[in-house]
Amino acid sequence: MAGWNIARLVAVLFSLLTLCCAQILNTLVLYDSDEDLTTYSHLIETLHDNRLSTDFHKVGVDEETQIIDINNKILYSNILILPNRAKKLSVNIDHDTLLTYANNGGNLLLISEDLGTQLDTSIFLNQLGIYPSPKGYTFNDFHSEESIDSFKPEFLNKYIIDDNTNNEISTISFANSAVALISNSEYLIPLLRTSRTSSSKNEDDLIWHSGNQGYLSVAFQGLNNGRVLWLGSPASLKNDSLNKKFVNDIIQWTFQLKSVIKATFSTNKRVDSLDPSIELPFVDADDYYKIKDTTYYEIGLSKYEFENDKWVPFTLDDESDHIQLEFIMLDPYYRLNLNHTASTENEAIYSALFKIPDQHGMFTFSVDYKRPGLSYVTVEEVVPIRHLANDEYARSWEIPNSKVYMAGYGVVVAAWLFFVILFIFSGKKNIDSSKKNN
Amino acid sequence: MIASIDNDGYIRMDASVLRVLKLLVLTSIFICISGAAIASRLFSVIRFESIIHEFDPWFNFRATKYLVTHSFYKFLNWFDDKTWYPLGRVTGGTLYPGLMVTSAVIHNILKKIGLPIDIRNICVMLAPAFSSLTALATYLFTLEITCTLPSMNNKKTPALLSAAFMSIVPGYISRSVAGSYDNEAIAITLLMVTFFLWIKSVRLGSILYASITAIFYFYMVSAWGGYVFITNMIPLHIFILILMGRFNYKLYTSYCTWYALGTLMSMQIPFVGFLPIKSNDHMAAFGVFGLLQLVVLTNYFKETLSPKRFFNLMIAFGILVFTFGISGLIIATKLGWIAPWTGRFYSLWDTNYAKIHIPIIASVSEHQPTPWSSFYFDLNFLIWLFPIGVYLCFNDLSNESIFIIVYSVLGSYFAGVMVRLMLTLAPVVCVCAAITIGKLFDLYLDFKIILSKKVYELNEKVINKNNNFWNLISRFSVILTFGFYLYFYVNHCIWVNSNAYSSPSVVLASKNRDGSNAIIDDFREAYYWLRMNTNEDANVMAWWDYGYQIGGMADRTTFVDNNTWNNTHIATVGKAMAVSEANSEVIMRRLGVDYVLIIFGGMLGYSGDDINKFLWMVRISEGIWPEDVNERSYFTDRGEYKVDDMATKTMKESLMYKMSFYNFGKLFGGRDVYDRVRQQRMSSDYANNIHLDVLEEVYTSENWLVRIYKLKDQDNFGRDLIEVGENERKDTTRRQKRTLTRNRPEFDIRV
Repeated sequence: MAGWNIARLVAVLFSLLTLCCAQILNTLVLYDSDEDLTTYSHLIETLHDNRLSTDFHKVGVDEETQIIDINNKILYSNILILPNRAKKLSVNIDHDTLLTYANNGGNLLLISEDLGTQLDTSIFLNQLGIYPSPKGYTFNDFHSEESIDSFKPEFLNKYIIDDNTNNEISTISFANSAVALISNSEYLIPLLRTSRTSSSKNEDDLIWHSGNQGYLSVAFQGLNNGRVLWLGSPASLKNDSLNKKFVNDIIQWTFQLKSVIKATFSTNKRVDSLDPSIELPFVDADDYYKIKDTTYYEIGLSKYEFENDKWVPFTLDDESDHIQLEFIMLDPYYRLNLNHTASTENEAIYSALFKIPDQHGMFTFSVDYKRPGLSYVTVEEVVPIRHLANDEYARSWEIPNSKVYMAGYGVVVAAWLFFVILFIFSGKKNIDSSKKNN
Repeated sequence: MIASIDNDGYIRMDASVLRVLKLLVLTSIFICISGAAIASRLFSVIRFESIIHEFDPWFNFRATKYLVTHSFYKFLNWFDDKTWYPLGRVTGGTLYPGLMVTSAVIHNILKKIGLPIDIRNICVMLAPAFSSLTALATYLFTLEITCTLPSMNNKKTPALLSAAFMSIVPGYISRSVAGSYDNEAIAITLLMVTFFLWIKSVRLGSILYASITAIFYFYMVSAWGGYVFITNMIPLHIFILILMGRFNYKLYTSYCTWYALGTLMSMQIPFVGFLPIKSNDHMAAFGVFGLLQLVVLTNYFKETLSPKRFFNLMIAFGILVFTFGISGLIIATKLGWIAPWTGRFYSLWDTNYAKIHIPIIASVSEHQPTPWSSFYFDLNFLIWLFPIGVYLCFNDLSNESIFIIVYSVLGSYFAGVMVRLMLTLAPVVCVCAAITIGKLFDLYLDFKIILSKKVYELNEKVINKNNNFWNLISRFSVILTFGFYLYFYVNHCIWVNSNAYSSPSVVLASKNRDGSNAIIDDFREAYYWLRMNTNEDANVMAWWDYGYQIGGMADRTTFVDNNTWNNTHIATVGKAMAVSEANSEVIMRRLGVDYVLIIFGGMLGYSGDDINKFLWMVRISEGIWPEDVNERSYFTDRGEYKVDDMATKTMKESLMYKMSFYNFGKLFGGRDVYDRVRQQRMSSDYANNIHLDVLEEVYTSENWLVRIYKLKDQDNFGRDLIEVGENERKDTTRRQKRTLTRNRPEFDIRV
C-alpha cells in the first residue's frame, strides 16, 4: 500500500514538474551591463507594447541561463541578444545551444556592432550563412553625400518592413555598424544593403566588403519557420536614436507577430467530371482515385493579425504572385495556379479543379508556398491512383470502331451455323447415294 | 472360399477377389507414395516452424491474404500502392492467380465443412499436398506411355516406380517443400496432368479428353509462366509426328480442340491477355495449327487427285505456304504486331545473352546455367537410367513414346541452361528411369519360366542344371544391384531434402560452439522492428531481393521488389546504393525514401549479403547511367574486389559500402576489423573512420545481418548535411573557431 502511495506521489510530482517545464516564457533579453537596460529602455517598452513579456539575463561566463531543457525543448519563444563582447553568453549557452534553440522553433534577434560580434553568436550566424565583419573593420563611404550613420534606408523585403514604413522612414541611424557578407542560402532574406560606394576595411587595409555586396541587416527563416534577424548596428534601437516604426517592424517580424501564415486545412475530393459541384465520396478503403477522375483540391490559408490577435484570410496582394499546386509522381504532372474561391472569417480558400492524368501510381498533391519574409507553407498529401478495373472499360457496343468486328463475329457464327445445317442435310444424301451405287 | 487347390495342384482364386486384392495393394502403394511425398517435405516445418520460405512465396502469401479478405474481382483489379513506390503495381493484372485462387478455394471449402484453418497453414502445406497429386499424375502419365510400348510386359511396374521416384526426387522437392509457396508448387502437378491428358487424347483422338486437356492447360496458364513449355511441347510433338508421316485424324481432332479451347481460355488470364496471338513464344502453336489445316487439305486432295497432279500441286503449294509464312512472320514482327522474343527467351538459347544484355535476369541465381554436379545431386541414379529409358522409347516408336523423346530432349536442354528448369526435367527423368527399371524387372524379376520349368522337370526330365544356376545368379545380381540403387536413392533423397532444400532462408540455422543448434532470426527481428517502430506509410528502400519480404513481413512500402518489371526503377535504387552519399541523397529525396534496409553478412559470415550482390546493383545501374556508374572503378587496379583499406575510392565512397561497415569497427574494440564473408582485414583506424552524414543508423539486428538506416531530414538551416558532418568531425577548438569567424569567406555572387 505504502509503495503504491509513493509511486503515486512520484507520478504526481513528475507531472507537476513537466507542467512547470512545459511553460514557455515569452522573451529573453540577454544584455551586457546594467547600463544597457537604460540605454535600450524604449526598445524594451516596444517589446511590452507588442504584448511580449520579458525576462532579463546578463551575459557572461559565470552567468547561468537556461534556454532549452534537457529534452531540447525551448524555454523561451524569443531571444533578443543585445550587442556584447562576452566570452560566452552564459555557462550553458554556446553556439550549439543557439542552433538547437533555433532548430526547435525559437526566434532570435541578434545585434552586432563594429566592435565585433560575440563569438557564439558569430559562429551561429556563420552557420546560417551570415558573416558579420569582425572587430577592427570600419564601415565607410567616402563618396556618399549622406552620412553613413544616418541615411534614408531602402529595405528590401516588404513582409519584414512594410511599404508604409519604408516610405515614412526618412532617415535611420546605423552608426558603428558591422557589415555582413552572406552566402547563397535560399533561406536568407537580405534586408538592408550597403551603398555602392561603401566599403569596410581594417587597419591592415584588408577589405571585408566593398560596394553593395555587404548587408547591414539580414533576416533568416529556417525550414521550421523559426526566424532570426541580424542587425549590424544597435544605433536604431538605442533610446537616443530610436526609430520606433523600424524597431516595431523588426520585432513583430522576428518574434512571429506578423507575416505569419499557415495552412488551416487541405482537402481533395473526387467530383463528377461533368458537374464538379457533385462530390463522389469514397465509400471504403478500397475505393480511391482512378485514372482520369476529376479532382477538386482546396487549401485554406490564414494570416495572423497582431492588432486583433486573430487569424484572418490570407490574400495575395501581388498580381504576379500565385499559390501553386503540383501533382507529382517523380515529376510534376500538373502545376496549377490555385484560385481564391472563397473566404471564411479566418481563412481564405484556394482551389483548383483538374482531371487526373492517364497514369496510375502514387501521386502527391503538393503546395509549396515559400516567399522570403512569409512563413513557409508546405502541404503534401500522397494519394494512390489506380488503373481501370475490368468492368470500367467501355463495352464493345459503346465503341463505334468495334462495329466492324462485331459484324465479323456475327457473320462467322451465322456462316458456321449455315455450314453445319448444310453439311448435315446434304451429307446424308451423299452417303445414301454412295450406298446405292455400291 | 477365397482360394482353393484344384486337381493339378494349382492354387485357384476367384477373379473378383483377386481384383479386390489388386486394388487393395495398389491403394496401399499409393498411400505409401503419398505419405513419402508429404513426409519428406516436412523437414522445414519440423526443424523450424510453419513459415513461408524465401522471397517470392512471401508475395504469393500476401496476395492470397488479399484474396481471402477481399473479393475475387477486387483481387483481379488489385492496384498495389505498397510496392514500386511511387509507381505502384497493377498487381491483379501482372500475376498468375492460379496459386492464390487454389489456396483460397481450399481455405473456403475447409471453412464451409467446419474446418477453419489459418490461411498461412494452407499456404505452407499446399506444396506437399500437391506433390502427392503429382505422383499420382506421373503414374497415370507413365501408364499411358507403357500401354503403347508392346515390348513392355508389365505395364504397371514402371508406372508405379515413376510415381515413387517422382514423389521424392530432389529436383522437384527443391521447389515444393512445406512453406515453399511458389507457383511451381502446383504448376508441376498441372504439367503432369496436362501431359497425361494430352497423351490420352492423342491415343484416343477424343474431343472430350482434348477439352479436359485444354481445361488443365488453362489452369496451368493461370498458375505459372512456364506454361509456355506446354504451349511449345505439344505443337512440337504434333509437328514431329507430321514430319514422320504419322498424321491421322486423331491428332487433328485432339490438337485443334486443345489449341482453340486452350488459347481462348488462356486469354482470360489478365496477365496473359493477347499474348497468345501476339508473342513469338506462342507462334509455334499457332503455326502448327495452321499447318494441320493444310495437311488435312492435302490429305483431301491426295484422295481426289491423280498422283502426278497432286505432286505438282504439293510443290506449288509448299513454296507458296513457306514464302507467305516466313514473310508474314517477318513483316508482323517488324510492324510490331508480334512482340519480339523476350530476354528470358533469348537467354534460353545463349547463356551469355543475359549476362551481356540484361543484368537483371542474370543477377538471379536460379537463372544461372546448371553445373554438372547438380544433375546428379538432384536426380541421383535416375540420371544415368534416363538415356536408357529414352532408348527403350525409340525401340517401340509409338506416337506417345515420341512425346517422351521430345520432352526429354527439350527438358534436358533447358535444364542445362537454367538451374531452375531442372524442375521441368525431373518428371521425364523419373518416367524414363522407371521405364528402364520396369523393363529390367520385367526380365529379371520374372521367375515364371524357372518355376514353370521346375514343373516340366518332373515330366520331361530335360535338365540343364548348370544353365539354370547361372541364370539364377545373374538374375539375383541384377536385382540386388538395383535393389541397392533404389535403397540408395531413397537415402540420398532424404539426405538432400533434409540438408539442402529445407531451409526457409528467412530463418537461418547454425551451430553454437558446444554443438547445439542455434536459430538466427535476424530477418524477422528486423522486419518486425520496422513494423512496430516506423510510420505506417514509411517507404523502405532495399535491394529488390528483399522487396517481397518487407511487404509481407514488415508491411511497409517498398521501392523495388522481386517482380522485376521496371528495370529503370531498379537501376535507380541500384544507383542510389552505388554512388556517393551526396549524389545518393538527391536520388533518395526525389524517390521519397524514409528508411534504407541492407543485409550485411560480414559479422556472421553470411555470404548472400548486399556487398556481395553489390556488383549487380552497379551493373544494372551502369546499364542506364554509364556516365555516372562504372563497374571497373569498384575493382582495384589489380582487378580485386576489395572492401578493406585497399578498396578503391569509389567503393569506399559508395553508400552501400558505408552503410555496411558503418560502426563495424566499434565491434572489435581497437583490434583489426575482420569481414568474415570477404575474409578481408581492415585496420581499426580506417574502420572507425567510416562515417555517414545523410543517414542515421536506427536499427541493427542481433547478428548484424540486417541494418536499417533512416534518411535524415533536410537541415533546418539549409546547410548541406555532409558539410555539417565534416565540420563536426574536424572537432575544432574554440580558438580555431574564432579565427574562422574572422576570416573573410569566399562566395559566388548571390543570385
